[in-house]
Amino acid sequence: MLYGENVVYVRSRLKNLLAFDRPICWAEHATISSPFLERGVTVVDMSRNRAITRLHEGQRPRPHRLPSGVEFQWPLSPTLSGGKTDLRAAPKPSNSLDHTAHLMTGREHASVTALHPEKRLLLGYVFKTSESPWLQTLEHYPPEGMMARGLEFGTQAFDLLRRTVITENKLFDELLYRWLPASSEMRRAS
Amino acid sequence: MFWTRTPEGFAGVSEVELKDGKVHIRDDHSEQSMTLSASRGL
Repeated sequence: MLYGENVVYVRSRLKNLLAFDRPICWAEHATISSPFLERGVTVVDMSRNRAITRLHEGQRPRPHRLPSGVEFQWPLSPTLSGGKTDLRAAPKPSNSLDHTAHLMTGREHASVTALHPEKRLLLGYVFKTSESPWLQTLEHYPPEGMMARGLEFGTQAFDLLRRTVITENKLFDELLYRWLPASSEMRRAS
Repeated sequence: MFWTRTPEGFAGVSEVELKDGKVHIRDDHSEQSMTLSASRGL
């Protein structure tokens, strides 16, 4: 932080001490939650992107609201019930858990923001798309109590096992991981 | 990461631009904008 600025600069460094290259999945896991995250009030905005919902797999603690593996144009996503929903705000009432991925490339910097218009408070992140081409949002919206929304920017589209990510390799023709060369380091800023 | 209070009526963020040591934030809906100092850039 610098005096007089409303900005926190985050500089991260990852060093490979091994004598061989290794694939890495690296993300900055920003998250907002209640009470700042309020149903039908707090809105999330992000740079123009290409978006897709996560494939449905395994048991989930809450039902899905969004369909499995469907591409959409942010912020309007198709829903399982057949309509469309604006993903900027949490639904009211709510009872769902969903995950979406957003390819942010095509510009030098991308952003994601969260605004509580009644409190008139805005929080935002700016990052380099060359370092973090993907933004993923996890929407944990229980019917009552604390909600959470992940705003995670990084190298991968979804939080999956590294083996899975490397096997899948690309989505929308964009790599889902990075190579960290032997005995070298990688830096990033946001 | 940045944070700020917003002007009355600010409804959302249409565009964020980091340029020349400043973060420019625009809401097309309310036709309002804000500028924050970010002297270090990325």
